[in-house]
Amino acid sequence: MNYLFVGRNGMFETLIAAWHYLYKSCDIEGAGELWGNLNEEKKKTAVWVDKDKKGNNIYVLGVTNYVLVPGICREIEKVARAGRSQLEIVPVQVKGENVTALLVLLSRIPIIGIIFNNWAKQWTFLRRQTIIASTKEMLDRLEYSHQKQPVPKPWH
Amino acid sequence: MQSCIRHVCCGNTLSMPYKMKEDDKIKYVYFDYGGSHSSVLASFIHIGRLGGRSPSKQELMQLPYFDKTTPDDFAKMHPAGNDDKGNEVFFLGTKSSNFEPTINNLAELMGVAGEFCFVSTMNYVNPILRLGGWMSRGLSQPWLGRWLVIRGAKSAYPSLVKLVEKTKVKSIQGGT
Repeated sequence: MNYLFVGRNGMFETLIAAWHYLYKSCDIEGAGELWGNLNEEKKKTAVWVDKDKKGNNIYVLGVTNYVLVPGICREIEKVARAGRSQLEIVPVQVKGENVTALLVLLSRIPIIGIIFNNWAKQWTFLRRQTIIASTKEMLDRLEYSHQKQPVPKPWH
Repeated sequence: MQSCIRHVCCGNTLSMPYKMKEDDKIKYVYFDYGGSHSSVLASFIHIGRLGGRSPSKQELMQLPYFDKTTPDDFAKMHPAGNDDKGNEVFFLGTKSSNFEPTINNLAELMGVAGEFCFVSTMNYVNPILRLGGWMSRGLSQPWLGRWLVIRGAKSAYPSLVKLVEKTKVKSIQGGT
């Protein structure tokens, strides 16, 4: 099973959610180059973070229409011959994500962009508890809706 | 049963090797921001419901979903029909103007990339169609935006025909 954490900003709020899911830690600096990486953010494709204890691959993705991503995947699944896919989508929806998105946009300005990038990281890190709480809620909801195939629950 | 390896085109950017049998069908998914104009046109061109010449206003308005979608239709894959080879054709509104890398990547992660050919029609949306679409669907003022939509759709039509032809050829021959 693959887990895709999808949010407005892949390398910011979404990465914190995935990181905490994996390691139960907020030490996001451990994510190294991924944390606040604008090049990865720009690609608009899922970025592999790590494997969890059960060997599931964990990915993060940041797109503007992230709210629609679970629906689009469900539609693809419905139409595909393969049936139920091995991809679980975890939407990461938190207040303040649009502010981060604006800071990320400003981070692309040459020379002074780094200031906005650091600001975006700081702004995201300060909201880590809210991000974690909302992701936990989403995972609980997913577990409830897929009782036959429960989502592994590393939260304590 | 003869089998072959062919490259399935996925839009303009991504291609991936996929081992498929001769009788395997591809699901073509044309998508754009709203799933209401260019993607609808492209999918109906693909199934042969619209010919090579530019369609009239009546022909356009008779198309299901053409300038008639609601916000509930976002992220829903609507079937347009089957093409002459029996491949299914769909259209989709993604509420994103650059969703091509993402949708191809999602299909890969889901393990179904080989079954699908995702084609973005966003590059063929001209400013008139964009403005008309926004007025008609975004602002819910079709009386204001529809005439622009018709003009924009007619102007984009020849390039959409070319896109469909290119898509069909690429998916058969193995495009990049």
